[in-house]
Amino acid sequence: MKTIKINDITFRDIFQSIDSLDLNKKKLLSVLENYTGLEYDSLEILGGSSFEKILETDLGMNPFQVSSFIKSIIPSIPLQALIGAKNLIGSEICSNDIIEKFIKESIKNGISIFRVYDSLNDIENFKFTVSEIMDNGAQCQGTVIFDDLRDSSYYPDIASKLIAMGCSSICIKDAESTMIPGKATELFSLLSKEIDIPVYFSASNLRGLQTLNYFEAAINGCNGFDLSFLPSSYNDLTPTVFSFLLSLKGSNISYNIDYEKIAELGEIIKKNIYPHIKLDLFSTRFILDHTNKNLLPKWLITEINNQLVEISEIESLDRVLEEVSRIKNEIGNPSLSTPVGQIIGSQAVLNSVISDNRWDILSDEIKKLIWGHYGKLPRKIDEAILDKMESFTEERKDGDPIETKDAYEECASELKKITSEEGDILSYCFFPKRTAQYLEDKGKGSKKQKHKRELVKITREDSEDTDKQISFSGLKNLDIKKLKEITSLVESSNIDEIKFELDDIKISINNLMQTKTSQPPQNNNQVNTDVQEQKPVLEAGSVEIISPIVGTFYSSSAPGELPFVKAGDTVKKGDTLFIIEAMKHMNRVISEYDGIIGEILTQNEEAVEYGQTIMIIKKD
Amino acid sequence: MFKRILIANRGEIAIRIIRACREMGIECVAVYSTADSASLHRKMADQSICIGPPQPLKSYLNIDNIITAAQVSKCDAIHPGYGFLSENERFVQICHDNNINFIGPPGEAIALAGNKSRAIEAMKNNRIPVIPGSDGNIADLDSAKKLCKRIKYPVMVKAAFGGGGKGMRICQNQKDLVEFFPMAKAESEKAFGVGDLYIEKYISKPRHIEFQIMADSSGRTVCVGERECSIQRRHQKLIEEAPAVNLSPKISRAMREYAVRAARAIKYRSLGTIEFLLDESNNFYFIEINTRIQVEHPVTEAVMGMDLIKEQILISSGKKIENKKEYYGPRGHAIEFRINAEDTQNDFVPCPGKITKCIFPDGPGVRVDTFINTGSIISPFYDSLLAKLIIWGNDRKTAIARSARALDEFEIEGIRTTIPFHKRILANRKFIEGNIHTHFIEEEFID
Repeated sequence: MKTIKINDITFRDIFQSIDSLDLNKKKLLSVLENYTGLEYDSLEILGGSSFEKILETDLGMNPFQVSSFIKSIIPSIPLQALIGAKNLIGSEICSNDIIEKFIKESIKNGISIFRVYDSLNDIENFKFTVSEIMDNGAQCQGTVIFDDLRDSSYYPDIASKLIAMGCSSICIKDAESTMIPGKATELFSLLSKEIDIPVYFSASNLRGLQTLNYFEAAINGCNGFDLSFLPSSYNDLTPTVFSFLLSLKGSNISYNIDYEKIAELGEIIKKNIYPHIKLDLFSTRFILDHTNKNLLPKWLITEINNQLVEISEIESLDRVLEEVSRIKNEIGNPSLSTPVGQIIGSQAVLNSVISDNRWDILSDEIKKLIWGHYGKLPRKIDEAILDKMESFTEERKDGDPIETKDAYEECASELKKITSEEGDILSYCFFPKRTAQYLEDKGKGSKKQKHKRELVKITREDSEDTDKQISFSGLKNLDIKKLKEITSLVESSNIDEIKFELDDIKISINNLMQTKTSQPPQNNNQVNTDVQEQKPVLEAGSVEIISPIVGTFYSSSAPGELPFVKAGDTVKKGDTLFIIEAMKHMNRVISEYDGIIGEILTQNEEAVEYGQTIMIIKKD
Repeated sequence: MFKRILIANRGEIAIRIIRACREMGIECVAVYSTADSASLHRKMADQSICIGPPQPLKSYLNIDNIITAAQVSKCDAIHPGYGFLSENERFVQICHDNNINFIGPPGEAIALAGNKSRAIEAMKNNRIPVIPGSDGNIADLDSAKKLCKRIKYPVMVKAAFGGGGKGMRICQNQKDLVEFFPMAKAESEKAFGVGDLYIEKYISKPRHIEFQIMADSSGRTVCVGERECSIQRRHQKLIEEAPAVNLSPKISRAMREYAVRAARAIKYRSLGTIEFLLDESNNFYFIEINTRIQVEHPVTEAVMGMDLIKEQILISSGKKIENKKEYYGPRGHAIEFRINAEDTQNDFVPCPGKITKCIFPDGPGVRVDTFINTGSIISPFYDSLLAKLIIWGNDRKTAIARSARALDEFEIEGIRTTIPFHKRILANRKFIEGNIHTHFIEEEFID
């Protein structure tokens, strides 16, 4: 009988997916207390976006303090953090100084295992971080991102290099959910033959295959598995602990956890945590629609989806997802994990939505990625892309390829008056805005927590649609210079309207000149104007026809003539609706829809401004 | 006099013009893009008209929409402010064709001033000193050597199609020239496909000094003072002062005489600015004419006790300049600080965003021209100027002390601004001593 190890990632998932304001110490404690007595081999509590999310919660602790808090309640289970070898928990390359401080601070606060990955599986990237972890007496789990284009023999090879560095366990991370049971059988039998330290399997469940994969892996010698109490999570779907453990019934594999006890714990989590998890996380429609065609990690699709909602380009989702796969393919199929996923995602939006031609605009990050500044790309890059890159050669820096700002001292001095807590400063290095807000709230005490809620509420009211208020972190890689480039590009293109959020700034680029289906420009504060605008309530299926220019509205072709259209008329696409006269030119406005004219909101010969609603059409 | 003016601009200058109009009893019509629908200039005007989406080309530069807006709102004049359409001769022509007064110079003056080589030519013809150099491109090394001997080293070799320092070389002596000339040629060929070069005298520590002039419809031209704009970063002015710092009265008088002559040479009308470079040995050279009201006009207003926007409107409506004096003396010293939404620690990149808190300085000698307030959203579509802080004092020393006090009072939160950088400049010994030139920022603050 063989016993498998279980790495519980419930906490990381909770931190990532909870509606952050609602998580407080008390709720966390109610769950934590019930972990005592459970023999988990490790709890992965930090990693991915959980770090930043913790700062948003009502916990009043920085992520390191949260770790220390969890450790104090359940001291018997080792705590684990998932970190990028070079980027740690962010999407940028960190200086060695920050890596060193981050590891020391994590260890000081109870983390004893670091699961270290590199999105390019570049062994060079591991060296510094792994040796720091070893030097500070913690365990390192060397992680290989699963790449379905590789032969199975690749894995024992890279694993042995990680072992040589000092890693005490290995993890195969199926970040893109491309594993299939047959491959799992082959891969884990090979690994168990060649590797004599524990091998873990971590996977997201995009295609619903992971319990099958886990089972095959378990039967074929894999030693440890990531499992969760949550049916889904924000970034990916980790198999639930229940179905996997059930699948092992009757096999020769056992586990140390009391099934009855975790069932009780499951009930508590259901009661205390589920109500605060974002609802859309439970929606699988999304995944069924898209992931079977384009196998991308769910977090990446979510980010691209949110981004496209913001810029009213949601119809382009499939196109952008295809573009992600295409770029991935062109640049040598690197895995789409942080930060490579974000970089390719941003480029895909640039390639398929923002610019007219693919590869017309290149983000700085994609250039650096192609030049190998993030590490060695797994396969050859398409010749055509390399040709494109020729013109940027002078930007390329040799030697220290990516400037790592020695931000720690700078951050420390910026926070000098507020805090000298190392955990706060490190949080600030990665998420300055979020951390500043967190420190401010904390400084003001509980009363101000309420204030924070109000702030958030106001931002939401400001926006037209609360659901669209999710920011697109994948595009954070674009800086303002880039944005200006985009803006000028959009100006010279036929793109109608682009809106997106960059950090907390809502940006919209609007080329809309004919008709639009949403609200007219916000003119609430208009003072004393004789060019009146009206805001009708739109029924479903109705569109507003707006004036594309400033001018005078004419309902008919000449005085005394019948109007082109009146309320109740049926119009076809291409019919003339009205005329706007400007600079002695008569500009006909043509219907873009088949439908019936609803209300006409403008009087004949009235002066109209840009964006003013002239009439409503009920679409067929 | 005009009855109603359309202000074809946004931000602080639109508000500045609205204020002048209010005081003169002129109605104003604001225009705005959809990105500025909550903007203050819109609320302060008597009427406002949306002229397009956020990108300037479709709104603030959209001539058709602006002219039509002026027509439907029955404006008899358009004030263009600075930037946008203020130096667009085509716009001036279209205003004219539609019987709308353009508040600014005639189109021909704009066209001439906008064409650098024609402007320089006109100045040379009127014996106004310009930076010595080759007339057009220089054919080969031999003629380059001859020229440099005449205009004296150091010289600068520039690519005719260059810009932003590309293909630009400074030669201290003939040896450098022999070495650099072929290199610059090759570089230019590589970068621009054309190897054309020209040569110009290199001025190592130039000061930027400009003169505000006014000319009425009869051609009467007066100079209303000088401004020092040497505190610049990559040709973007950051701090402007009036009068120029430690400028000898003799040189100042000579320069303003040339300024008036330059304006007359191109039959200039309305308000304008003649810019000069002044070298360390007090030689000065004409560089260009600005045919608009300038961002830094308030420092002149502060020391001259006048309202330049009102003067500009009055001149455009046909009023003559009455005072017989050609030059008015300044009183005290004024300094203007440009408060931009820029991250001074990160290469001055623009920092659009939401202003979460904003407290303006106040008290004696303090003026703030701005359009922002707590809650304002700074859009990435337009320039980063948030506010201008204008300080007046009896002398430069008093003005500097007052500036430091006012900048301490000035609080903007939510986005990064140039305020901290201004404080650093104010603490710089060379600045306090008036030891400044156009490379001051690069030399003192950027390594």
